Amino acid sequence: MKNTVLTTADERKLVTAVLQNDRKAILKLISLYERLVVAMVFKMIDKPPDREDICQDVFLKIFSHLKTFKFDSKLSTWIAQITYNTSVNYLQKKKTLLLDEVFTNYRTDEEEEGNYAETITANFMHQTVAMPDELLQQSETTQLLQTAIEGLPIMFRTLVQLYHIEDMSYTDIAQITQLPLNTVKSYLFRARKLLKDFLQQHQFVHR
Amino acid sequence: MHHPNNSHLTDTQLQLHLEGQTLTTNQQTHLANCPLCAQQLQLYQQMYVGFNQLPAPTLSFNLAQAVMQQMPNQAANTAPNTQPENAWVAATTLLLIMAIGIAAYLGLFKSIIPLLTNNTWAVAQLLTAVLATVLLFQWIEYRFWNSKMA
Repeated sequence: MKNTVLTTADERKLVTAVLQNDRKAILKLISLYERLVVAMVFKMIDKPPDREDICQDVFLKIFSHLKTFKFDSKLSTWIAQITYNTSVNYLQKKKTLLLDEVFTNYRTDEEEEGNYAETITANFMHQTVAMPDELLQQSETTQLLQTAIEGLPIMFRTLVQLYHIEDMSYTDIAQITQLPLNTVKSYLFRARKLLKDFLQQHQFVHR
Repeated sequence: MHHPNNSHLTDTQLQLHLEGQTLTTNQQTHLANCPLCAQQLQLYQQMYVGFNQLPAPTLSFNLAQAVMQQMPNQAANTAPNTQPENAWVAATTLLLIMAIGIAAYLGLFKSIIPLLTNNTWAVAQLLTAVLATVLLFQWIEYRFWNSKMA
């Protein structure tokens, strides 16, 4: 699963055609970026009916604001930013936190284990996991990983999605989330550490 | 785990290594001889591979169709095209039949038919009048239909 890659010239052609209300171009834009939008919305929003509404809402916003797109970033980054903002607005209305305070205050990797072990475990406790009986194989790791990502705070799983699955750069992610570059790196580090701890815990405890 | 005093590689160092940062010679030597650090690195490697194998989420409906139907300038385009065309043809035909029926009822054809016999010019005039009437009806209905769809 990789981020859609269009050259700047192709992006300009596509955007121009969409602005001229070209039906084929509109369908092409949806087809090119549907996977990115859906993946981000699914990472950020838990309720299935709301996810579907938000995905539609994102594309309607994209088309209504496309004339303001100035090509100062990749089209995918701009679309991801709209997706992120739309999802954040929804979460704010639902009073859902993107990141618990306990994770925001999390310090260095050498200090974290004792302070956050309980929080991490509590986050993962509600997940049902198929435990491997033998040596953990990659397919099982992938299943565990999926469960582990779902147990992460919303901000962390969004960053993991953008960086590791959509192949976006730290700079693009900072632009999308409006977070400082170092914060993006720091959060991603913590997210990966939590995921690794989860994999380790299940590998050793349940083998 | 990972206390600096026993020289184990930290999670930061392991992650940076997987992001492409080169380890120092000491770190490389330690990693080659420390099962614990090697196991931690392997966990991270499995995780990185796992990221590329996660299934993509999918929607239970046609997103493109749903979006197109909600776009103001596209709603008319997404409606089935055959329906208005069929309605237009049916309405024109019905009006034409009604016009001919009314003409027959009023006895117009009785006076016209004798005039048409052996009179090519009169036949041409009649056909032109009928054709013009049909075209006029179609144009009126077409305008009416488009104003409804706008």
